[in-house]
Amino acid sequence: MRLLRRHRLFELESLFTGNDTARTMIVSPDILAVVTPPFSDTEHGRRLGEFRAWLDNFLEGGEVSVAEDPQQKPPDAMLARVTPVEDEFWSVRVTEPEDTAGIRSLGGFGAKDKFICLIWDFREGIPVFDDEVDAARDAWRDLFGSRGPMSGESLDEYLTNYRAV
Amino acid sequence: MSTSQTTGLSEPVGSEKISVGTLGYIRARHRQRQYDVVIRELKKSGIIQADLARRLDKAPEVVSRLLARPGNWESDTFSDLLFAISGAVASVHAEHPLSQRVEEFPAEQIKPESAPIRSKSAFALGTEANNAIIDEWKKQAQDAPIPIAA
Repeated sequence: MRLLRRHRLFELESLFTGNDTARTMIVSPDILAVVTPPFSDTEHGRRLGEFRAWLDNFLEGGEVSVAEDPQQKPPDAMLARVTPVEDEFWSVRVTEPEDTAGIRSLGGFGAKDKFICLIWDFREGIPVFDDEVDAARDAWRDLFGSRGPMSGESLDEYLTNYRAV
Repeated sequence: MSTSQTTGLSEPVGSEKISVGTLGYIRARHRQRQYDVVIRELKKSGIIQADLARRLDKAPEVVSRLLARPGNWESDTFSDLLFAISGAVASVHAEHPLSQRVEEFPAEQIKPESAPIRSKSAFALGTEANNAIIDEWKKQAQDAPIPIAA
C-alpha cells in the first residue's frame, strides 16, 4: 500500500504478538503517536492504555461486540456504525475506564478484518458527533480519494469473531 | 511497509512504579481475555440470554449488559457466567510475553530433558525462533513418554 510507504498510515502491531495477528489495523500518525507506549502515569495515560488494548484486541482476533444500527446501539457496544450508514464509517468505542467518558476513534473497513482508524478523541472532547464523522470523511477522502470504505451486506462480510448487540 | 514497533512495554523491574497507563493496558487485556472465553462458550452452547438470566436469577437486561462488552467483572461474576453458560470453569495460567518467555504449566510438562535451554532474552514470543523451539519441544514431547497436559 503506497500510503503506508509514505508514512501517512501505519500498520499497527500488537504489543504482545507483534505482526502475528488475526486481523489488520491501519492507523493514522496521530493515533499511532498516542497508542505507542510508554503510557504515562496519569489518567490520560490510563485511557490511552485502554485505547491501545482495544486496538490490540482487534488485531489479535478477540471478540468485538458490534452495533449496526446507529440509532439503537447499546451504550456498551465496542464498535458501532455511525450515520449516515451509507458512508460506511464506524466508531471504535473505548468505554473503559468506567469513570470516564471513554474514547472514540472513527474509520472504516478496507477489507474484511482490516480496519483503518483515522481520527480519535476523548469522548468529552466531541461535542457534536456529526462533526467528528465529517472529519473522518474528509480524512478518508484526503487519503483515498473517491474510493470509500468497504461496504458489505452483513456483518460477516466485515469481520470475524464478532457479536451483534 | 511502516509498522509500529513491538517495544515500549516491559516487565516491571526493581521497585520502579508501574504507570497507571501500563496498568490500564494490562487490565484491559485481561478483561478482554475473560470476555473472549465467556462469549466463546456462549456461542458454542447455543443458550439464549433469557435462559442464562434465569439460570443466574438475574434480570435479562443485567445479563445483556454484562455480555455487551469486556467489563470489569468481579471474579465471581466471571465464574458464574462461565458455569451458568456451559458448566465450564476457567483454567488459569500465567504467561510472560513481555519477558519473551512462555511459562505455562503445560510447557513444563512438554519440555523434554534433551531440549535446548535458552536464556529469556534469546528469543521473543511470537518470533520464528521462539515458535520453532516450542514446536521442537512439542514434537519431542510427542515422541517421548511424557504426559502432556490437556
